[in-house]
Amino acid sequence: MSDHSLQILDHSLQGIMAAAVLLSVGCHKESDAIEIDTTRPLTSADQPPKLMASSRERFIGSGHGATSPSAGPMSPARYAGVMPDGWKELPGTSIRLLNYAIGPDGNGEVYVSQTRGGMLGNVERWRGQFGIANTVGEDLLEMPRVVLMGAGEGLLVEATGTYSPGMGRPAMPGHAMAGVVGVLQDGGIFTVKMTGPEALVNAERGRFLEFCQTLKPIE
Amino acid sequence: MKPASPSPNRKRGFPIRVLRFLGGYHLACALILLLGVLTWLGTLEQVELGLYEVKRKYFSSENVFLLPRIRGKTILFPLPGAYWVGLVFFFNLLIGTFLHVRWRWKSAGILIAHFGMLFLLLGAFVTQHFSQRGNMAVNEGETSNVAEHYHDFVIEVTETEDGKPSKIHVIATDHLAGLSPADQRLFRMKQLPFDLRIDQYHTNARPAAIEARHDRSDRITVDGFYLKPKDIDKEASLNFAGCRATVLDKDGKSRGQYLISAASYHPATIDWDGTLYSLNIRKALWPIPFDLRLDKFTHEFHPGTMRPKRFESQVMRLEGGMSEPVLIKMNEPMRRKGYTFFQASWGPQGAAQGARLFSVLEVVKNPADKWPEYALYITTAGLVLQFGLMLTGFVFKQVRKGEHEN
Repeated sequence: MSDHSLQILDHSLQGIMAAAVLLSVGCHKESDAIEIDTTRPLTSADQPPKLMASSRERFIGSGHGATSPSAGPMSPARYAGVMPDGWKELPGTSIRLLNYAIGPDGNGEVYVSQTRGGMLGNVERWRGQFGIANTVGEDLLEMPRVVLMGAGEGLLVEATGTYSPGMGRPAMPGHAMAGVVGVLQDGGIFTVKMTGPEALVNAERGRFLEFCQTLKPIE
Repeated sequence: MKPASPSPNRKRGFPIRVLRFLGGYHLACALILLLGVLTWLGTLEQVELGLYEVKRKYFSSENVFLLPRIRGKTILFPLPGAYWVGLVFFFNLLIGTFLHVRWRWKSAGILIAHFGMLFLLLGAFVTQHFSQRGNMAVNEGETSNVAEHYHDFVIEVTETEDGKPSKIHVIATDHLAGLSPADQRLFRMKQLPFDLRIDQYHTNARPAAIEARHDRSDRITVDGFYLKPKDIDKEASLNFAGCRATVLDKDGKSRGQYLISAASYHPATIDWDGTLYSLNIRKALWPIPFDLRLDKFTHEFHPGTMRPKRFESQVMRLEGGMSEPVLIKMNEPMRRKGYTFFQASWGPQGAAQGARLFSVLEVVKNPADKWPEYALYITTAGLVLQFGLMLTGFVFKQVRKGEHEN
């Protein structure tokens, strides 16, 4: 017997018995129109709503202006997250799907990226930017894990020291990094990275991790 | 010489025989066995179906019969739902207590134990029908007076004054029950100048921009977005309901359509002749009759592991102008006014030393919260009493027997 037939049998059995029970206690039918007179008291969760938000703001969120411009070789998805107060949204690039400046002087940055190369490769590349020898190896499994995109999990990579971002940018002493690396369903690597002066990165760390949780892909 | 009396079974009428069967030991044994089998099968099926769905399939009143499904294969053997087995077991015990247990002092312990078990089953019934579960997430230094349901969705229309919420109208979960994308349901909002018609209801869907899909004319879109259905997650709390809401004047004329989704960042806004209302679908909220302020959250893990050693929330309960400090720890919940607060989780995960944390408390409102404990005491007392009575009777009997022999 096929699964479909079994499902029908299952539902039929339930239907017959449920009908018998309903008949025994009197039929109940949802009326065509239901009158609603229910209210609930205001609670601490009822903050002033953002009124007159556009559909784009409602469904894509504050990050909508920083989406990937177009499909590259990887056809990167678009993402959105709830931007913490005080962060400044910057235009995205082909690499930075979401891009923010942080700190009172804007001398820290957070960006979201989608890449290839495996977890280990990305972790070691980030650590290498702080002059840390690439000795992660099997310790990858022991690295701290944080919530990424609501229900997912990513590795938390942190480093302090002199930051050498490459791409012709000068080395910056007294800097720090907090980054999260996760694997997407298609095997791609998803990264969220925060860099800046050490004090700023430490101060923003909690909000950065919250931001990572709120990220989600947009269709 | 007395005339021969007919056998007891011949003497009894059909209803009595049915009653004796319903209150009989054979039925009791079969029901207990069934409950065990259902629990075992439910535990196996939970792996693929998830806790919520398994509870619904095996233990809710909506399934009178069910077909177990183990490792992807349906077992063609209908079993009664545990709810109904429990209900029959309750009446079996009740009838059995009156028909089979002799009402005399010597059986007092058995009677008390029976009533303890009846009380336990009654507690399960009350829990099934009247308990609520949700969670309260509160940041350190902040105050909350509300719990959010884990998986029940409601639609809310909020009246606003100067941009702030002033009154919230709720279309309850029960009114949304049974809605599928093909259905539509009209809600007459008695206290509002408009009504709502809901259709395209999805238990789990995400809003998607129309430009991100291939052109398909069968999609129902609103303002460039549509609801993309998703498979229902076996973890019910991970589903995001969504639907289309049409605002109607009291004559039934459409005044606008809105897509609303629990996955959206902001509610829709209804501009009704210059008065603004927000429209949202969200997990149901239930207000708590007192405030809880989280003063400090502390967490510790066993060294070198992610196994929790100590989670605790130091809260201040604020009620009627009074405040009382309470420490909520793992396995040491706070109970107040029928609500129980368990330490459930915390965040943000991986936060640095000294970072601001939030605590997640599971909130359970269950009128029968303590009934299983009381039932256990009653049953234990009954069994101890019965043992004592039997032991005493035995000792006296032996003493008398000894005296008689001497």
